[in-house]
Amino acid sequence: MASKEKKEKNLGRYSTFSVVLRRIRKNKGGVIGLFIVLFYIIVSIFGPMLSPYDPNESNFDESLIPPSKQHWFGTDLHGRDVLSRVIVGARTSFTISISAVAIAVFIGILLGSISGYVGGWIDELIMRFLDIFMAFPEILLAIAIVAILGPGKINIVIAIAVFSFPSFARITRATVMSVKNNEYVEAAKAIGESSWSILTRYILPNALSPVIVQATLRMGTAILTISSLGFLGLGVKAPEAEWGTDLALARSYLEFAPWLSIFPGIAIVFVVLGFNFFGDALNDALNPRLKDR
Amino acid sequence: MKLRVLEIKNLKVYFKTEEGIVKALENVNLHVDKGEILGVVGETGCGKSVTALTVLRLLSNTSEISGEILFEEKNLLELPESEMLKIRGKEIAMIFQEPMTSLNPVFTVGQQLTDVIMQHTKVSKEEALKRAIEVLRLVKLPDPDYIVNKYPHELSGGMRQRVMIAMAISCNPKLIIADEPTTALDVTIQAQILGILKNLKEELGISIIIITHNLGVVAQLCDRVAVMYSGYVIESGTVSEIFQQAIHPYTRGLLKAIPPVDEKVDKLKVIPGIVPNLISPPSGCRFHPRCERFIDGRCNIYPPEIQYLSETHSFMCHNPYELL
Amino acid sequence: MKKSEKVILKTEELLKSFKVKKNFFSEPQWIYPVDKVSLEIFEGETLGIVGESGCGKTTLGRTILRLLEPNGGKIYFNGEDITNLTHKEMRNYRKHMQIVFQDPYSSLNPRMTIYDILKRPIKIFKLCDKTQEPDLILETLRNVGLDKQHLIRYPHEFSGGQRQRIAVARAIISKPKFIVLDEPTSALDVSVQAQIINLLTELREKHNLTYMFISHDISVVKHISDRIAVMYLGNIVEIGPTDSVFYNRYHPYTKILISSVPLPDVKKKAEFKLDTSEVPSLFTKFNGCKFVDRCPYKMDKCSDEKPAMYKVAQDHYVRCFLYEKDGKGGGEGK
Repeated sequence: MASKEKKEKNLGRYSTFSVVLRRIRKNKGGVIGLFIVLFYIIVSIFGPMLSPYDPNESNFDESLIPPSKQHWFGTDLHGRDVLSRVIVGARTSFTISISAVAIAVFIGILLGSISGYVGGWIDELIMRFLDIFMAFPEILLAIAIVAILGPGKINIVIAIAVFSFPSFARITRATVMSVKNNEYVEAAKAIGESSWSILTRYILPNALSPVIVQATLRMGTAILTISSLGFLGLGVKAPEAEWGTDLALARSYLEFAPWLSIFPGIAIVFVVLGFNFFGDALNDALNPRLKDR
Repeated sequence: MKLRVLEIKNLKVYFKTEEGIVKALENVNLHVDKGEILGVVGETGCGKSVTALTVLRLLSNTSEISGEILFEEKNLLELPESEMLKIRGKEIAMIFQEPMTSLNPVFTVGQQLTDVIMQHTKVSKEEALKRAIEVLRLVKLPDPDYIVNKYPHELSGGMRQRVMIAMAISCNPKLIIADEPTTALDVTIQAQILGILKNLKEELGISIIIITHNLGVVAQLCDRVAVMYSGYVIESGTVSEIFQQAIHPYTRGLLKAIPPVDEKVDKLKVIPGIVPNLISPPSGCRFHPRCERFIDGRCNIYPPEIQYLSETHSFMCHNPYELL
Repeated sequence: MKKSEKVILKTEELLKSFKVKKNFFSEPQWIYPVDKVSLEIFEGETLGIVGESGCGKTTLGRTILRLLEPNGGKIYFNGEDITNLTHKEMRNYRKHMQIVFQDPYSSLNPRMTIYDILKRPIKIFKLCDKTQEPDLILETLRNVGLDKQHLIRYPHEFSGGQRQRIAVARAIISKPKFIVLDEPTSALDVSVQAQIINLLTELREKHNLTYMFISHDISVVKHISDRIAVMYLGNIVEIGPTDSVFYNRYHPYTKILISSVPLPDVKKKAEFKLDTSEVPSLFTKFNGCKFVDRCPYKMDKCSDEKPAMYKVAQDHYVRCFLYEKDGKGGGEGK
């Protein structure tokens, strides 16, 4: 009895959070995804401090060594340790993707909530503006922007943010439009709340779940895009470690030094899958479907 | 001995959910005789809708069902699904609360009716259509030939509910289960629908179970009443017995909580507390935390057994009121 | 429930219209859920508003509080014209005119704790300074039968009845004079409904509140109201003291409406009529009385002319030509 009461008390404040956590725990894919994502973040933050070698340090005596005790992932053409490059590459992709997604979320929520709440011609205007961006396939848009602005981390952030923000705006607009018809919004008007207050205190907090899910899934897309750009030679400047760029360099050696492609490639696959699994589980957790009676 | 169309004995239904096992029905006992209207009343969480759905085996996600549901000597809980298909819609029909969502919006009324008729009886399409128009007339819809070609959204709420009733009677069922059929309707339309239901009983001899939380509907329409609370039928009897001679504290509390029509009272008599949690219900009698006739050591330990005051009047209580 | 002579709220020919499409393919048409409604509500009384779908009672409640913008007519609160005030100016009045909504499951912000919900009106209306805030919140919460431990919880942790109490707390915290209650008990179980009704009557006595009680449940309205107004397709068709309206039922619609209510009394079995008359949609255009198609007493002039309100008894008016000779036109309702 006592433990049950205690559980009820604890659930009081954070019940949404613990309920969501419980639901994710049940979804095996989600748990795997969550672990991968957490692992990725930890590696990005702490990895480079713990990497065995300097990823940019060339050592031509040690070039193209297959995986061994000294070099777990082997070395590349320049004698650089592949493991270290993969670890530092994680940080590279993480810093770029999280910046890009954060910017896209911010702009997206701003535009989407104004559009959804105010409606009318402003809504039309913003929607048509978004349409322009959504007309382009994402990767093409990214390539075009990087081609114009030149390579480099900041420009990649811009490129990804630009093709990502419209979906956040759309989602925010849709949820704002549905939430604003709830009675508690009307109740807020009845107690004299200002429009800004209604938007920030009543509407947005209730409209964020789909945005959170989309942001998680977008991280995967962003990381994939960074690597794609890198692969095409439009990514971060050499000799900086980045998975896609390294993959491009590894192409010519695929036959006799496959480890140069395998490890960066697996890293990309794992991380992107991890975000997708976790994002899907999060979606299911935040929007539980009504079970049959 | 009246002919019993349906008899539910010791029905227990538990559901598996995320938060735990919901003990929706614990020990439900009720019956419907031929040609009578039974009202099943109760508040949220009492299990009235679950009972109805269990009769037609429309539930999923159940972790445990035990007891008997006897329909014409057969235990419905033991029938294979293929047999149940022949019963649903034909022998036992159901009417739901929201006519808009129970009718398929992309088919006309006529198509939906003929579908049901042809599913259960071996008739041609022309004959099915004739029968469809006939049942629409039975529910007093004006211009049935015109209505058969209409889509649900072209009809008002009251008319849609009449269509639902028509669909229910189209295959001559022995029993109709109506789950809050008038709750979503205006009061004047409600009166019309109740009139149709009464007419069905009087002219066609169909037995009806009507599930509602509205005691006024029960008093005006029903022959017998079963009062449910948290998974039990706590009192059951003829409509006069329940309204004038109720002995269960919950039934009395419920009757007193309605604003009286003919007298002026300052305060309504209130049943304190709230409906119990079905995952961890109170021990013993589930009503005991709110009961003014509570006996410590008994009501909170032993679940009450079914007892009879007369052939028709039954109750489940350790300490009921005395009859005057 | 002594009726004072002071008019707290008055409307003059209040009009609320919407341009609506009947279905996807048709042209948008105007509908008038509030069709030139004039009424007065006196300090300390409870005016019950009854009617069926499309009668406009909910729209009326919201328009009076300027939650919907009126399209015509005037609204007076305590004698002052609030019809065209800006939202900033309205804020001063909102302190005194509050509302409790029907659905306790959607009228509270799921992301705010009870404390936050009750804090907002204090901040907006500047009801007290920061140090007194917790006391005011706790006092108000206790007034509705809840307590301290409920403050840090979220709405979804409460039952329907408790949420409705919180909604009432939010409405009374600014010590309003006038509260619109829009079907406050319709979504609740019978036993919980009784609790909330008792709470409302208690608060009314304690704080001398004036209520506009909107409901489709006629027995509840009869229990709590001093006067009843019956609405039909945007008009008040009958208004008068509760018992007078309930038992006399002058207007033909009132007759049908009240006789349709199933009474929980086995000794009074009703005759169910098997007719099929229904409320016409708001799209229907009427040149004369809107009840004409369903009225068993209709006369020729009913289709062509709109009846005014005619006095039939003390404080009791009916919008029907049957009573034209008895009273003079005008009076409290137009």
